[in-house]
Amino acid sequence: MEVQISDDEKLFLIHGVESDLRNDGRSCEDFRPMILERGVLSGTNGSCRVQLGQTTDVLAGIKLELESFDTIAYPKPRQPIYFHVDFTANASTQFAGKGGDQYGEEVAAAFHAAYSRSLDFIPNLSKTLVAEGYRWKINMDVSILQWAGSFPDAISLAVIGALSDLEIPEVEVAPDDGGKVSVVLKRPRHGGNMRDEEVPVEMWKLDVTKCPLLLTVSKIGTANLVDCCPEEESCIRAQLLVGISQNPEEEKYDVTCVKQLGGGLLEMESVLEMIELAQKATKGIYEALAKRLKTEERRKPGHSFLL
Amino acid sequence: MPTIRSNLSIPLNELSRIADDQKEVDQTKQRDSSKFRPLCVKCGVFGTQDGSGYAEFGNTRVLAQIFGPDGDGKWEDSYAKITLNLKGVEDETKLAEYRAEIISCISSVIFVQKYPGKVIDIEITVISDDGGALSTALTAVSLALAHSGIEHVGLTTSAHVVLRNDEYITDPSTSESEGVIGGVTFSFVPNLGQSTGINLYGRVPIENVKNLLEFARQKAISLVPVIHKAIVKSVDEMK
Amino acid sequence: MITGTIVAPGDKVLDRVGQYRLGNGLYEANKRIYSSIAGYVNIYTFKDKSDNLVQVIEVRRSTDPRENELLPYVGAVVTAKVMAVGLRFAKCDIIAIGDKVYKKRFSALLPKKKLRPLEPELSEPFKNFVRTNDYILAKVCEDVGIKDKFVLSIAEDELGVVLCRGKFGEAMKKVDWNTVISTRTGKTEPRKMAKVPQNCVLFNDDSSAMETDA
Repeated sequence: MEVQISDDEKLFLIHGVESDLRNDGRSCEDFRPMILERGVLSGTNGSCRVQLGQTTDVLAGIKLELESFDTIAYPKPRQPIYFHVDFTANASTQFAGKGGDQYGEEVAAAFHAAYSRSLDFIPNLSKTLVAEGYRWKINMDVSILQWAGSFPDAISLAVIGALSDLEIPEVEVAPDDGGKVSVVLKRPRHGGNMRDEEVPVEMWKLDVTKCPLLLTVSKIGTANLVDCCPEEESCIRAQLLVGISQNPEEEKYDVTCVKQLGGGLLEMESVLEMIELAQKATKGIYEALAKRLKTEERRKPGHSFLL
Repeated sequence: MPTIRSNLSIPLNELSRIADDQKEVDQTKQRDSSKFRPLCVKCGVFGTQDGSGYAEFGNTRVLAQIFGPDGDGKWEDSYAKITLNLKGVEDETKLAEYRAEIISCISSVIFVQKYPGKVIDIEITVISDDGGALSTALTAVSLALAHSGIEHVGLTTSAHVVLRNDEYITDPSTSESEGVIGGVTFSFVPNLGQSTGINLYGRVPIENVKNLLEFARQKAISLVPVIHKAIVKSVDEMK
Repeated sequence: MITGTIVAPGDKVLDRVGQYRLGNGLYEANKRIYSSIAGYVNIYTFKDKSDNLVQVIEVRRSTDPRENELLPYVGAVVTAKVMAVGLRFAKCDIIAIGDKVYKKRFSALLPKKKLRPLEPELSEPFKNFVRTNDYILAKVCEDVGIKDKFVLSIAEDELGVVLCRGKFGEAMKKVDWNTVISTRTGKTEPRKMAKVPQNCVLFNDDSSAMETDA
């Protein structure tokens, strides 16, 4: 979204945030109200829609794919989550045509970097390696439907939401001819007189409690802010994208990604302050997210969020 | 300490692809974890280009060229547009990551308002990548910028360091960075003491982040004299 | 700082401005003066309009101003080709500065009010001065409204058309300063011709260019 604000308005805004008061009444460390709903797309294996401050709207969907790979070329388990970020021209006119492609690639690359150790912080992710040479590939497609500031934050929430919504089928691996294996979906029989196809496939879910959150922390004047709205984004001096994963049991935090964005200069102390703010914010969001994921009512399957 | 090899020459036999098992030279194994790989920097490689620079850290070699500022007839804003063409990085995800990082770094140092309606094209070729391609590329760009005469805040130095167990390793090669907890590429403008780019990856416990960044900064500072000397030398030659 | 010291971008040149005026290749940050390009320090003096001596400090890449400046600078005499003529502007491409040819062309504008000195609005049409495909000598000047393109002026006797061709591509010969004649048809056409001096000083390295930058 394009905003045009005058120098005087900018000055007013900067002075405001320096005294910890933003134009919409938040303090520097506050987020806008968020909406997170899961199971919004019936055609996906897991989906989530996140709305931030009623305008930034992000939709994440996961498609599973059983992939066979060469065990000699890839002897070690690899990170199975693949990100693809799509900016539509609906979000901002600057993404019209191919305008958003490069930007989308760059955002996806940041998420790849932040999730490069996902095997460590999602304990049961290694289960996606179903057999020697076979694994579930998790294709995460993110669309930015509306853009009004701090979309990486919204994407990272949507990603976690979609991962928690993801149901991966249990499989049975049977040896096959020529040293190969055949992978069959697991359908546990509980008696009854049903045909095989009617028995539901057993599913399992990922443990997302330690997934990293990617937050943008912006420097405006001398203040550090989270979750900037477009007016604030036009005043940003420098921005950091910080990915932090939390270990809830031990209250430990790991930084999985820090990137300086948008071409600005930063003092060393500011960098550390901004990371600290991100950590503080992460803690709050983790709590809210865990609560929401636990209490959210399941949607009726087969209905999209548009209805 | 880092050393300068004076004149740039890339012998043809070295240009051929280095086999994976040859990458590890005996001496690099004994390298102190606080020292850089043998490095070579050169400001101004091609006379005909507007700006060019070359940086080599061990087996990682990067060439940077700058074209412009030119008018392209379309760009009419009151600041210069910076475009980047990054070659020699095969992994598309890495490419996008590096591209974003390098663009952000360059645009933070160039005085873009001084070139309204102009376009500055930057072309970076990663000739060979043996770890630390991003920091090498940023060094090469800084040298090319100094050669081009485009006004900017100052020379930037960058260092790539990793954290393994409790040990910080400077400028690791691909084989040396196996099994690390995480690492960071840090680039900054020494005269202002401000960072232009940070790229931290891996899984670094938050209490180690400060030390890791500080270590990277110290390493970047130790590169300043080398790069400064290379730039001064190129000015001297031009005179 | 001594004249001639080689500096890299970002080197501190002065602790504070002091009596100097800042020239090219320098910027101020945290009250200190840093170099923004690689080159050597140069200090020169000139007298301003009220006869005060002004000391200017700058960083140069080369003693030759053509090598020193990347782009056509204000006050430079350039060779340009007229690409299109409109009602109020003629679109030009700067080809060369002095005898140094640029690798790429820079687009520039020649406004109607810069065709002749001290004349706010001309009633005469553009074609009495320059036409499309003419080569002109012009001076780069500053314009408050136009920032993304260079603004040219031919409002001096030494500036104007130096080469033009007729309808059939034939050479046109200069008759006097505002008329040319076709070598083939003998038809005359109006032009504002340049009076190219024999001893041409293309670069006067003095106040006119530097004052505006300070």
